[in-house]
Amino acid sequence: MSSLWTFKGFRSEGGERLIREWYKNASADKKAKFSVTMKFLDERPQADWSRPAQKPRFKMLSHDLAGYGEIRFFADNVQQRPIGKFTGKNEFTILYFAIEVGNKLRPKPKALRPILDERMQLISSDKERYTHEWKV
Amino acid sequence: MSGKSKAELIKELRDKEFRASYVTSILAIVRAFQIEALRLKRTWNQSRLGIRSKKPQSEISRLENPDYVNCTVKTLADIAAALDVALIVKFVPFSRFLQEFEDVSPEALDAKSFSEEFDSTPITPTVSIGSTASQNVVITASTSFGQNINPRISIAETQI
Repeated sequence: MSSLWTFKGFRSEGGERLIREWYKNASADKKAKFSVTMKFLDERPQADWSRPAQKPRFKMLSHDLAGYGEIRFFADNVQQRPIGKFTGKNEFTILYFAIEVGNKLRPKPKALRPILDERMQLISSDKERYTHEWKV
Repeated sequence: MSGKSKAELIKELRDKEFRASYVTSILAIVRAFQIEALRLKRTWNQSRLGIRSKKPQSEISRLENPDYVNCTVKTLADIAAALDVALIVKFVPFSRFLQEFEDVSPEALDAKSFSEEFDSTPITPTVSIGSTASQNVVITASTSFGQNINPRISIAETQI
């Protein structure tokens, strides 16, 4: 296995680990699809994350969420959209687990932006304290 | 760097629903990545692959969607034939499955076409010279794969 990436998740002030909590409460289908998607991303350089072009597993966001990127997979009949940011060389940190319903992101981008920015601000102040590693 | 251990994954696979979803998902994503990558390697667009495999472009588009899971073995065999690669479909134990998909990097998912694999193999010709009843010299040649080839000798049959 050729692992190229380090994946991290946001850790709250209270110590709650975002990915770990999401995963613990996820259905078997969500867990499996998330695991497979992350494995694929893990073994590719970023240039290949936008493959297959038909339905890429990753997309950089624009407009209200410019600067952030979403991982994309379909589980439990819902488009899952973990959103995060590149936080270092070959390092991506998931900040929020959003979903997409009828081509619209939930929560709405305008509402999500301040949450993401606030989390990134905390991570910038102390990366070790506000992130946790996730093994693919 | 990341890296979930095999033991951790096997622990998760103990959940029947998880392992069914894991297998379906990995097969779909590998299929989508491979068809797109092998098509692009040949600089074909989806329509061109569609023509070669006698399928509409919309079907190629579906096959390159990792969320699409309803495809038949016949469809995959047609795509394999169009790309001139082989296809394996067989039931295996989970240990074998994990081994097969341990590495899903672009390099590991590449598949050479028949001609890429065999046409570039250096040919070791075997030339034999014999005589027929009419005393004509007959030169025959074959490759290291046993194929008869036309010897590039202009005096292939020479009257003695």
